Amino acid sequence: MKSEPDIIRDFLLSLLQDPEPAGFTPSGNVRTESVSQPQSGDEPEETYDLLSDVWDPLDAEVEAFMQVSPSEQGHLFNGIPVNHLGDLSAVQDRFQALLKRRLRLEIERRPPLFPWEKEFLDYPEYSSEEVSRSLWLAQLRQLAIPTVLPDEVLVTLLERCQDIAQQPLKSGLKLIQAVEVLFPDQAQTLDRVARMVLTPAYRSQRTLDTLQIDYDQANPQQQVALTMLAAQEILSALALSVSRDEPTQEREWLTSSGLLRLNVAYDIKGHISIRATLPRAGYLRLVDLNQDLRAEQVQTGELLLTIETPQLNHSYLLEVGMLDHPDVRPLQFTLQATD
Amino acid sequence: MEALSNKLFQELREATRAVEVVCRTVAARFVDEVDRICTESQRIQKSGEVDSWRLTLAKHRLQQCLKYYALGSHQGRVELHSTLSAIVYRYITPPQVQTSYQARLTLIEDFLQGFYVESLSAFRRENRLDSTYQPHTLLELAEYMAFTERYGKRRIPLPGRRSQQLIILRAQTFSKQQPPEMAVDIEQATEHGGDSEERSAASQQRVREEMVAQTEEPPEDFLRERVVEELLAYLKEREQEDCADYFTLRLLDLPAQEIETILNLTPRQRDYLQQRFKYHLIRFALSHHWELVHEWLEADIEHNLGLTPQQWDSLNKTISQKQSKLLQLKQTGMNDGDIAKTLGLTPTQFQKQWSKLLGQAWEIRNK
Repeated sequence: MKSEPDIIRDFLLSLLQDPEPAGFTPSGNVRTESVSQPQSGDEPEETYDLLSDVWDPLDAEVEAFMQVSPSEQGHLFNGIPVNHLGDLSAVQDRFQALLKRRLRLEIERRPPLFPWEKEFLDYPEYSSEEVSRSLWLAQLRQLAIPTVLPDEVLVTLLERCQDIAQQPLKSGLKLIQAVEVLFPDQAQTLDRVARMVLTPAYRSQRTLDTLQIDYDQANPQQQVALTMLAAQEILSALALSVSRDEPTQEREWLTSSGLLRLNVAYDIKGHISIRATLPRAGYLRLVDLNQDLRAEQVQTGELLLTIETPQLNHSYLLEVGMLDHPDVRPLQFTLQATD
Repeated sequence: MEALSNKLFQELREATRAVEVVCRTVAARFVDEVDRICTESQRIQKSGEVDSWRLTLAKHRLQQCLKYYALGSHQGRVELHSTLSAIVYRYITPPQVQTSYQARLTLIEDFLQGFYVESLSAFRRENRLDSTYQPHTLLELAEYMAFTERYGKRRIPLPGRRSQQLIILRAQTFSKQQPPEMAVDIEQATEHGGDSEERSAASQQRVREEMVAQTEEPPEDFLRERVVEELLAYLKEREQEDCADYFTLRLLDLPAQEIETILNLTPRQRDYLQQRFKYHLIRFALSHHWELVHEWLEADIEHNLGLTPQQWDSLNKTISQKQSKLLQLKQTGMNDGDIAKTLGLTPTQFQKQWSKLLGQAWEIRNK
């Protein structure tokens, strides 16, 4: 005689292994008692035949409705082939629920990171000032300078550079004005370093490649130099210019939401078109004394502005802003068309 | 603004602290997706209830998104990750011959990292977002997490009128790409499996999984499933949740060691649990649910309880006169109450006699 464990095992195994164990084929009438069938009385096979000619996008949604309340299910499953629900058995559910409980213990300790995350990020419920402040900073954290500047310094530099970009100042003076708020009472140092920074040899590729300076550890003169190098980069990134010889210019700016792309084109008819692709809902605005053009996009996508008759050698202010950060100063470029 | 989009927007505004434009954008994306399904679905178009479907599908998206929003960034990702891990668990086969819980977890981790990348690009593609888009606020993160869950659970049509969840198909592909020396082929498994008992069991397990993967889901046997469900319900009713868990894992044919890890038991504790489960299983099979179980075994009363003529004789020889009468009356189709009356038994006594009889037949059948 088989031992008790054998009986149990056979029972389990036959439950398990053979959908239709040899010699144990269930009689036909029991099939209609299917438990996985939400509506009794239908013949699953026939229902299926009638509806299965083509795959329907709704079939892909079936899973979604397993948690829907039973009162709604009747309506939802009406017409969904029963076979599609076949493997959603009580065992599957129980197994998954059981495993999920078990896995949580491990996952709680080491939650996963999503593809865009390098570390565990905190997601604000709404756009806080902090987030607003750092909206444009992603680009500035990767400037081609031999250090990483603290965010506060970058914020100040961006502010200052945008303020002075429009002003017709000499390069040296621009650099001084861009950083002087960071180094009060150091006029002489500023003046001296500005001269050095503007010397082409000062920023040879070799220097930039090999040198890495910790900003906080640097001496005042080094700090001035580093911020001026940064200001120089920022000013050049904010300046757009097209001419007949170089009719198009592209600019990319990495924001905390993704990449912003600008394309300025000077066409044969003499129009200037400005295209912007924003990572989120935003706007593009062009201002000068004579006009104020604006294009806005609630979804992400391309924005377009056209200057029909651009004035040559005239400086336009081009703004790019994000709609969900109304409190953040837009990114301000200068745009010039030269002959 | 369009009515449905506006409704979703209002609900998002009320349920979250997200700024207006984010709520508006998320609502618009829900509606876009739902409209796409409604337009492409012949069944919805033919149903004549397009609006009702739009609402149902959109509400479902909203609820899922709000669930993740309420959980927050940390708990939300724990929820998503554990949900998806549980779904793919059986389909992620460790490269080691010996399957183990830990080995699977490591692979699942790798697999899901890739899956999150895929769902992010699907999210960008389907919503026509820039290739640099990333969630920025909590609501957008919740939207992505809800999308990822839906995306993974999406049913994909397979040949032969079958379908499978997208994430399971990906998990199967992922498992097949494991290093070749690890992908034990069926022949090798049977040839060298005998070296050690453990290895043999593990190889067979792999072979079985391979075969399951190849044949996909076998056609459902509804009665079998019914027995399983009734047994699970029976165990729950008797507050034997741990037995039900054990049964579930046994049904999936997981090795003992893995069952121990999942249930957090020592081998000794598992052994004890197995004993307890057996006790309940026997009671289940021989008492209230005997008809279901016996019908499934084709061992119902019309089939002489599944006994051969010799076995049937043998049973009749071993049972008492009263039991013999009981059996005869059962075979005439008389209801239990009347049989009890005829034999002068109380319902409890009747039930006891009948269970005993079934137990005897069970033993003879399994000799």
